[in-house]
Amino acid sequence: MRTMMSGGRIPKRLVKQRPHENNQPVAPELARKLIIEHRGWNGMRVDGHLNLSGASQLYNLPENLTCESLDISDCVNLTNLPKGLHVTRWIELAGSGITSLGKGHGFVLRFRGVRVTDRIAFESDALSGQDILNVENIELRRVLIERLGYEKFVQQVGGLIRHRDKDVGGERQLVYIPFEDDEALMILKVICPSTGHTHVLRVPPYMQTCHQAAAWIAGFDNPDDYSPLIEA
Amino acid sequence: MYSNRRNSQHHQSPILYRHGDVLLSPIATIPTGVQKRSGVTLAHGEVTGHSHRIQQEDAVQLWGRGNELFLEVKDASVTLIHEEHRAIELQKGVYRVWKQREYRPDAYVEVED
Repeated sequence: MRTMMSGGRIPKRLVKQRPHENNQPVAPELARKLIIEHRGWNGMRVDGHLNLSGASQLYNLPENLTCESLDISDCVNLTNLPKGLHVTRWIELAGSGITSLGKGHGFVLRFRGVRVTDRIAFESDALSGQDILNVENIELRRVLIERLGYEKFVQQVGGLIRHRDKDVGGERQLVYIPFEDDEALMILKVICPSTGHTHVLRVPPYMQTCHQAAAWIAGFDNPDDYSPLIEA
Repeated sequence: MYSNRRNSQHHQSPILYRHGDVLLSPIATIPTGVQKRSGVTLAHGEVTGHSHRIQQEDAVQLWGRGNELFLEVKDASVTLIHEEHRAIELQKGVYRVWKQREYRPDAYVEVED
């Protein structure tokens, strides 16, 4: 009867109430849970560091969100920061969907823990492999290589082939670039047997063969354990 | 890392299926402490929306334990499909399912400034 009188607008189930939906600060862990469950609210204040790392299900954040620092790394589907966002310290955005911020945004940006400029964060195509080789700060150099992309970096700088062989997709190569002051960049180039696309994956620097590297990528530290029956 | 070795005096690698970045290996039984998971999707592409999934919806049961995933194939065989990868037939049984990994140098130390 209530439903009929109300034109069907009475919800059949109780809506889960949003706790403390007021101006009181929310503990960081609770804030993460609420936002990931899309139960955050506009004007939400977080009491400290808000860690949303890896929340690929997030497409937006509450407007006028306030926190001390914000980690949105690997939030691949988060492409914009909300209006009125207030972060007092820094935003970690490696691997997020954010590809630009308006000029004069005023945020301190980090990429895998390293403070970066807008150019590094958003204009990685403008960097050359040679520019990156000349960067003395090791951590910043690592960030820049990841931003440029392993495949592009190796193409531009010219990697050394440690090993090559063939698998079901075609030729695969284990390529490395040594550094005097840092561990070598070691990558495995493989061709997907289904799509024909080349994939480049970083592997530990102590890899010696393509098979060892492919096994490591698949989760096997002992390459003898890796022998796929079917690859597609 | 994932030891599913058969009983043999000679070392034999575990049976393994690779479907893009998803790997499956048969195991003897459903592990203890698992909980039922709904659906037939083994892994989602986070950006593309593509997924590695079983075509026959009523023929499988997914089981989870923390971050671990197991697939129980209840019919004689089912088909593992994806928008970009060729299909793989999986026989009746239980499989451990996991995704490939990529190396990243030691985590950067968080420097409080």
